[in-house]
Amino acid sequence: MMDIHFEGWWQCRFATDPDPTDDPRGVSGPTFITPGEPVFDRVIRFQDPVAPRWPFDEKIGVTVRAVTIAGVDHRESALIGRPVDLLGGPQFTQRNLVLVDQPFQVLIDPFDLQVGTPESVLLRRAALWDLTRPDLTIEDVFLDEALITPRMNTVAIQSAEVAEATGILDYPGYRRERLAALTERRRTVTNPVEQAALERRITALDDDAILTGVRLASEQFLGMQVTYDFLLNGTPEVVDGTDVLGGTVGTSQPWGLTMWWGGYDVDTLCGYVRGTLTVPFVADPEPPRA
Amino acid sequence: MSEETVRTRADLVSLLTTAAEIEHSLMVQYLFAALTMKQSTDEGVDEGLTEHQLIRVAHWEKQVLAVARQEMEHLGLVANLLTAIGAAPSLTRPNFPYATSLYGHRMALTRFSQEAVHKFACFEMPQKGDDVITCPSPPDPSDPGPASIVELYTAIRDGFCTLAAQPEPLFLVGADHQLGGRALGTDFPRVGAMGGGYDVFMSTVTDLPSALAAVDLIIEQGEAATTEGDEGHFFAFKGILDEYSTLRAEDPTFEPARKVVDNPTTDAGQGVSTLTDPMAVACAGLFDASYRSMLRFLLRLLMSTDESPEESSALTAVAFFPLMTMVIRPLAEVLTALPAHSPDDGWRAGPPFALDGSVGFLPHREAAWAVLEQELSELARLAHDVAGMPGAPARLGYIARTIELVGLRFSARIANAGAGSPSGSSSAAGAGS
Repeated sequence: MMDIHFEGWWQCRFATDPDPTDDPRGVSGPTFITPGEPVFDRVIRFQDPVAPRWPFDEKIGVTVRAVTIAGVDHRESALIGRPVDLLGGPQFTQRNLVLVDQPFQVLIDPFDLQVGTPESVLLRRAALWDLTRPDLTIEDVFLDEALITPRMNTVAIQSAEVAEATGILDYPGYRRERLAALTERRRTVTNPVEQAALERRITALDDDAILTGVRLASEQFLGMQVTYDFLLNGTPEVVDGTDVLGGTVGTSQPWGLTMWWGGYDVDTLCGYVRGTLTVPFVADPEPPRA
Repeated sequence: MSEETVRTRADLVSLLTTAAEIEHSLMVQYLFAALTMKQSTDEGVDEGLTEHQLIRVAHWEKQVLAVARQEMEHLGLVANLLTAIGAAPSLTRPNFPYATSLYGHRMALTRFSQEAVHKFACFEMPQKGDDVITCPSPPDPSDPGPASIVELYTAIRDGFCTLAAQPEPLFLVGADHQLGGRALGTDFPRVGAMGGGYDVFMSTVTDLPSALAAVDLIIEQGEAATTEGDEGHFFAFKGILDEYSTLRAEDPTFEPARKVVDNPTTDAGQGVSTLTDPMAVACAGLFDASYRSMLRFLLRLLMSTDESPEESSALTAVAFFPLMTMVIRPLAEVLTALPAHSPDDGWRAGPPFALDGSVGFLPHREAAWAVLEQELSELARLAHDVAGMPGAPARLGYIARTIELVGLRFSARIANAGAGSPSGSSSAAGAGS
């Protein structure tokens, strides 16, 4: 088996409860748009963020960090450093507890994972709710426990693993430091739109002192960890024209995926993901020695 | 001004019922004002505010919505107080506008303005302190109603103390039949504190200390909260007023709210604004139907007698997040952007929050659930009809689909709970999509 370990920061510009999920700007929840930004689109982005906010403007991007084959670390793997992406406009689908029963249950739909790029080496595969009906969406199956359960997440709050990955060890302190940094930055920027955007963010962070609900939600997001473990069962796509993988990836078997998402920062609309894609793999035979 | 003295359980029930009506009414007025506020300077919907003004307006809207959620919490706490002493929670109130004894004001749906915020501050004003403001009309001494919210709750507090000291048992119904923070998802355990999710601190009432704690929380949140991270309603409104004055001084044309009519309605009447634009009339009708459905779900939940925890959870799962945040609020936002009249004279519509005689307790459990299920189905049909009207705002389609999905989940939960659904379904595949 080949285990492809990936991680990095992603962006999702979306309204969270108690705002309606289709709220275009964010009012009563902890997330909001700032002047100069387009309205929310709820799309999860591993690459190519839309209007990324300082200081995460250079951080966003999920990449392959390690590859192991049969448990052996392959530091020379051509996959390392390649981008990992989710295609098709994936969203956290919940509709404020309409599509799920419990808070913090978050289903990602559609789910179509791509490792690498078509120009070089690529592995791509979707998770389908029902293999026989590939066009079904979450709204078609949300009451079908047999189809939903495998894709459901587990939740941990104040996760130590998330804290170590993100470096966010003190949630209130993290937000206080951000407030100070944004306040300092506002003194130096001259662009009026950027000034207004910083003012909007500073106002929201200032609200930690007077709005308990938003503060608790903001801090909870920073430490929350949602974990998924399911199979990618759609039609696989493997591109490896120059055999940089050094072997053959199995395509008739489902691919395994485990991952956690967490450390969502409502000020920058970014969170962290760490996961492992497991694919059947048989290495090419060693060339005969001269 | 009244000098209420509680001597009997009936006296206490009467005061608590008055409190429920007032909390419900305030919550709706705050919501209405918040949802009239301007929202954007981009995407082709420039509403005449600068970026700086818009940031302040968005901040005010957030604050007022938080206050409205706490009024909802107060309504829930009052319902628990009523339930605890063996009485029935109440969700009734007169339609707007109507007279009230509170500082001589009228209960009315008006857009966000200096006058409106000043009135809200008067409603929440402490009885003592240096930070009081001048309210336009003094309390009418001949009015039998409470002159202030603090006066009302002080009488309720004294009433609980008086009746609890008598030999007859006062507290008759346990926490299992009340709405708590755990069920609502607002409990948030941390060192030295509980509650606070969505700014709501919900608790159940089983004895005198828990009853007094609920009453004290209501008083505190209105006057000047001592709860961590909560400035109190009065000071929130007063802060907005101060900032409003500053912004108005900087820009005399500053108007934070859309030009929404007062007391909108689809009917005629005194002191109301009758909507005539067909789209606004249809949306307002859908809004009121949704609002009344939500109240019927809430009533059944607040008065649940033999519902299992799973069944109560199913009622909660319709009334709170789905209907409140995904239907009521966005519909109100849609309405405040629609013309009120045909032909368009520049005035915008608004949510009527109209009640009729249909919002009563559904007493027979299985029949109640069947009625509620049917109601969601009818509501979804109505919503799709309105969303399909020529020129309907795109957001209505999302709202209609949400109502449909809520109905499907409720039917499935009825079927799973074995509550006798006439049309329970276990799969939504292809439904209405």
